[in-house]
Amino acid sequence: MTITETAPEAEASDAGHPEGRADGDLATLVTTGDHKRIGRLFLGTSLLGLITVVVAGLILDLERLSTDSFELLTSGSVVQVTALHELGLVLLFALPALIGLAMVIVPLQVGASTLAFPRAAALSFWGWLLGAALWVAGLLVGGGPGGTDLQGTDLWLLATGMLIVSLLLGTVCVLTTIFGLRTTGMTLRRIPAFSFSMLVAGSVWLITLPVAVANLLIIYLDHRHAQVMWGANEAILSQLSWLTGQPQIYAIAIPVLGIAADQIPVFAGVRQRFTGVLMAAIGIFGFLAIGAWAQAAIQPTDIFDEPLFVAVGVLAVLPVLMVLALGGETIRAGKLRPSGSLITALCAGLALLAATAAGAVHVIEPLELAGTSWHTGQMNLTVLAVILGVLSGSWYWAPKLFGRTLDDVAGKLIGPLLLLGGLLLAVPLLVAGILDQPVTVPPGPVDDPVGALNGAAFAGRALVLLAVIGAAATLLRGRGRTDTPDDPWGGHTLEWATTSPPPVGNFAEAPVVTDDRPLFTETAEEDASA
Amino acid sequence: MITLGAKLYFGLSAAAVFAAWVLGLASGGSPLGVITFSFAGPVGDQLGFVVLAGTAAVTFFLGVVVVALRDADPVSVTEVAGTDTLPEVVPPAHLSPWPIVAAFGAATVLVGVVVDLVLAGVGVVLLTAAAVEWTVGAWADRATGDPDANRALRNRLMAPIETPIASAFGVFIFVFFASRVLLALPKYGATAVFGIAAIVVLGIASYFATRPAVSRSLVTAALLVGGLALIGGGVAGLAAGEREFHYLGPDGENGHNDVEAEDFGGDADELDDEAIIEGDDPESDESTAGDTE
Repeated sequence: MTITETAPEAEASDAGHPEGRADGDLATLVTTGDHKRIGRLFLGTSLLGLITVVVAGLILDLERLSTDSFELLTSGSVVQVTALHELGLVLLFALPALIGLAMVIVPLQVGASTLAFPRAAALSFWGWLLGAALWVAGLLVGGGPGGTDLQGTDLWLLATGMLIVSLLLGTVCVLTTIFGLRTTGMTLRRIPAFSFSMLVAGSVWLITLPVAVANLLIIYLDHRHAQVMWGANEAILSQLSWLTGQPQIYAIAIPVLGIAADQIPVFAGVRQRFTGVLMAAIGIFGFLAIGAWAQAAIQPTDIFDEPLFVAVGVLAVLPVLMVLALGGETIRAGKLRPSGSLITALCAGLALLAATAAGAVHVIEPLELAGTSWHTGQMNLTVLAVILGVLSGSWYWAPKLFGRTLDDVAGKLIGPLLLLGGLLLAVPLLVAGILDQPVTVPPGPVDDPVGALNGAAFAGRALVLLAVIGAAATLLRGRGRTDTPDDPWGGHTLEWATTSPPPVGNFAEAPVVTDDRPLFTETAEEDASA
Repeated sequence: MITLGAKLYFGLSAAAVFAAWVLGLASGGSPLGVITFSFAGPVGDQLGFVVLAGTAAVTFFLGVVVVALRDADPVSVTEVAGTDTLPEVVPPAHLSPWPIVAAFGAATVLVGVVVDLVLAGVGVVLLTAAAVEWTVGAWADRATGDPDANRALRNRLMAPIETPIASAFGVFIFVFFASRVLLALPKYGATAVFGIAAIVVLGIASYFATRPAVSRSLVTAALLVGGLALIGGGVAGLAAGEREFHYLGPDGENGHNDVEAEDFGGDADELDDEAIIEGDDPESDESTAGDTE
């Protein structure tokens, strides 16, 4: 039964429109207001950011493996590189990549002709990019946490604020699109899982990240003028560590659930059942990811003694399990077509489940894992889920993102390879945490069992780096197809009702929907079975 | 009816209130203080409590707004607006440089606040220009239903202001940064560098002039590289400082009134009124050696 009044083979011509030029046109690129182009810019540059911060992580791993005291770095630059790695994973990769993906896909999913405030979205990207450049420059001139250059540290603090504000601006654009630009018939209950997960994630980001800006403002004022509250810059990283620790780290992983939940019914060829339960699970996970209250550096008592902290840490695993169980039920009800994007999405779900399970163990106080490398392992698992989620989304929505399908064989390899590398990275760090390896890089050789585990973690991170570079190369190369079908998967949601790539304005005419799976038809089911 | 959006935000709000109470009670707050949000007693961990209570307040407000707007459901919007169809939302009809200018302005303000307030002022000027242009552009985009007419309207309003300001700004930028390069380079080096630069500019311009079909990207890239080279050179010149200057008196190099620091044993204070040394340290070796041509 159909449900959309828009012809799937909607045709539109971009000829003559200034946004119709190719991405290679530099003038168009820097002045664009097209949400698809801005989203691609976010995605591409955030992948560069990911490669940068993974390399920083490799340097830290090498330092852990050193047989003498600090070999590659100094005690100060270890803190700088740690800041680049940990905060970079969130601010240079996870948030911008997800916002970029959402900027392209969300308007298509809700039937909008554009993103809300498209020029503000462009400002969001350029502000983020320049903020990132200043952020890295602040570290390079010797500023930032652990640095010795006072002006460099001031610059780093302000640039961190600029990064966050820019990302929040992009989030506002996405949320406003979901609320204000839905097409006729597209009630909130009918929006696809990815759009709903972005609604939850964006709301959590908007509630929590301004607290980080407030943190930065206080640190900046103290650092620039008196340095009486927090000292020179020793305490900066610890005061911002809540951004990369439990439960706030889960905020970057909320859209992963939506990415997986959108694909499973399509590749199983059946309707998503229990949509309300799915949405509730994503909403609950969103609440459990609000972590601005759990600031260990400022809290009067040990955060691990707080019952709320323990409860949130343990409960976070439940909504993830719920979403995966719903996915399993959907797969069982249908006939699965294992595509590269689906395999990567399932890997992302498993990585997130592992991350939340590790988080649940982390908060059990008698195990005394606080302050150990268990924290690093758990964070890496969460970010791994985001990397897998972003790549899965990129593969699945490639016809809409890039106007072509990506190599499915590569997609089937990269997901498991990343999961393997990520587990090889995270599990040794978790085990080393049980063996009391501190979260910071120790200034000297470590005993053999821990040293061997650090070696394994280094190999795992190198594997992750290789897989990410391979994925980035595949994204750049594509398959060179010019005859990309509008809907190569038999998709259920509205983004598949327009051409690949979508034209300026997205749809030839505004679609009208009367169902939460507007394109799900008996034919699609038959196609899937075939 | 409670809409889905309202359920989400009210649910978040209720959960945040509950979490704030749990945190407050567990961290030493009194039951009365926690329930009254600190009006009648302590709340324990103040930071955590305030963040959670703030979360509850914000999400409750969002829930109320979402209920009032019925999730901004398209059907509800049309009913409220009294129309049959939703107002058309169209993507931008024109490209706009102002977002990137605003981003550069913000970045300049940031660097300026840390390094030099004059630079921050430049950033504020950029931000102001972007804000004005953006505002006028947004107004013009909605003036009529015809994008070309909107464009013409915007140009008629802004071109008389933009053209002279942009020209003056361009000339200022060129003169300022080029002069910094000239002042920093050695005497004959400046002549050589700008001679070569002139030849390069002429060559590239001639190339473009003879190939009308050359791609926009190439022209843009050439202008971008040229502009960045000029600004980068100017910044480098500023950082390096001006070269040493020896004022040789009214008769020039070959006259009889040549006055140099070394004639006074390197003591610049003994120079007469006609001879001035700028940017020079009379105690330094270079100063006492001086230019003797």
